[in-house]
Amino acid sequence: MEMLYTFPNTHTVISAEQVLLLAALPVRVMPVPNAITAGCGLCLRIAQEYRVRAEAEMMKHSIEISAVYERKDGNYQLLGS
Amino acid sequence: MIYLDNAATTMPKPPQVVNAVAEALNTCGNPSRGAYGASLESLRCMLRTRAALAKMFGVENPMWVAFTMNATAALNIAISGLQGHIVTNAAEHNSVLRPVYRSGNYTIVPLDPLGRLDLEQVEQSIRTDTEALVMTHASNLTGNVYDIHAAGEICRQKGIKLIVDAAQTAGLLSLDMKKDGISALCFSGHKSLYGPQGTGGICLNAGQYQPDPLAVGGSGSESFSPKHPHMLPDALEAGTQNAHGIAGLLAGVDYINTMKGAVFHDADRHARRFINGVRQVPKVVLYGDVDAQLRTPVVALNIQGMDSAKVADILNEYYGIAVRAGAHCAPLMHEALGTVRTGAVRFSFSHFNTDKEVEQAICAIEEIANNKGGY
Repeated sequence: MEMLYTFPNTHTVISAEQVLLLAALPVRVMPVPNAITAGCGLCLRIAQEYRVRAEAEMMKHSIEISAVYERKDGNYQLLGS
Repeated sequence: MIYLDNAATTMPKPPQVVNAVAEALNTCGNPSRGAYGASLESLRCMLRTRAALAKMFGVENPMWVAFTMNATAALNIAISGLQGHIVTNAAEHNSVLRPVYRSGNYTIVPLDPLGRLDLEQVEQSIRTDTEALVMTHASNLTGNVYDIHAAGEICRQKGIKLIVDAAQTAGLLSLDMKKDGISALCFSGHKSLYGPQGTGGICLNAGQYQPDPLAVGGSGSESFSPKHPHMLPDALEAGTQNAHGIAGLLAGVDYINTMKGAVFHDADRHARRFINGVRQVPKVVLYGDVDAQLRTPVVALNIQGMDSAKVADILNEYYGIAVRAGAHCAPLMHEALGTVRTGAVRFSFSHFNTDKEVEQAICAIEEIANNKGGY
């Protein structure tokens, strides 16, 4: 299972990516799936096992998360926004 | 060529800047437009540059640094966002004056004949409906430096915004948005930050002031919204940004940081040596507060009885020295100095000039003043 995070803008996505990579958390930037938001944009994907650490790191660095999704059976379930 | 027009654009650039731009041209895609490596690398480069600039200028949040194509674009954004009365002064470049004139509601504080500004007069010009003081950190014509920290204190006490034109000082002199109480700091990348032309930006204290954008359009997100995003930096960065140039700007900022003050001190030494050399020459008239303890490496002069354009032309043609003549887009400073009719010849030095070049420039002025060359 994996988590997907959206952010207010692409610059925040990259800030979050840098913070997570610095914390040695394997993260990937990907286009925001249309199932979540129609239009362009970027989001972060990370394995579910890293969720707690990832969110702690982002909170520590005051990274504003727009929404958190969990991908299960090919669908995205909104966990919080 | 001996290049002494660094106040317009520094040249040469450090090799690191050249290499960074060359590398970016082949490795950086369109920032914000894709999730593949080349696009992300472009976006990462912009983020690193924002962070480096935020650190240099004491900006609270790197996202409050928005890129523009130059200081003029940044100043237009900053000034166009003002609704109330504006106080500015006669040292300003047209990149400040013209947006201020367009606002139609302003007071311009005069200068003394050396181009100096009395901050008490500035304070007295602030009215109850004044929204901002717009002020340059240094004159692009004389090299006079103005006390931004003291201006910031006045603005703090009066509860108005301080918008700073740092085109002539970014990278040379220290500015700190928090300590100096600056609401918006506008800079160009191609002068003393040693970046390429087409780079610059606006740093905001967004908690106090976030002007509306002059341009709206593609933002890489919220594509189905009819409104351009309000969040910084997207709000002020419509369309594809100059990521290739910004890669060079980052290399320039890194270079300045590595040099630990030498970029200013070398250029300052050259300018002071030049001043001391030419002031001995009969017929040479120097302008501005040339003996000030703190000044930028810019020197304006005329040779009595000679047109400034003619002097610049002779310097170019007979001596291979590149300077700038005329009005330098600073009309009110010329009024203060009494040089509206003659203009002035501006010599501006960089860290990359050599002592030998400075001596050659002094000799050239001596020869021209004494009409030794039969020009």
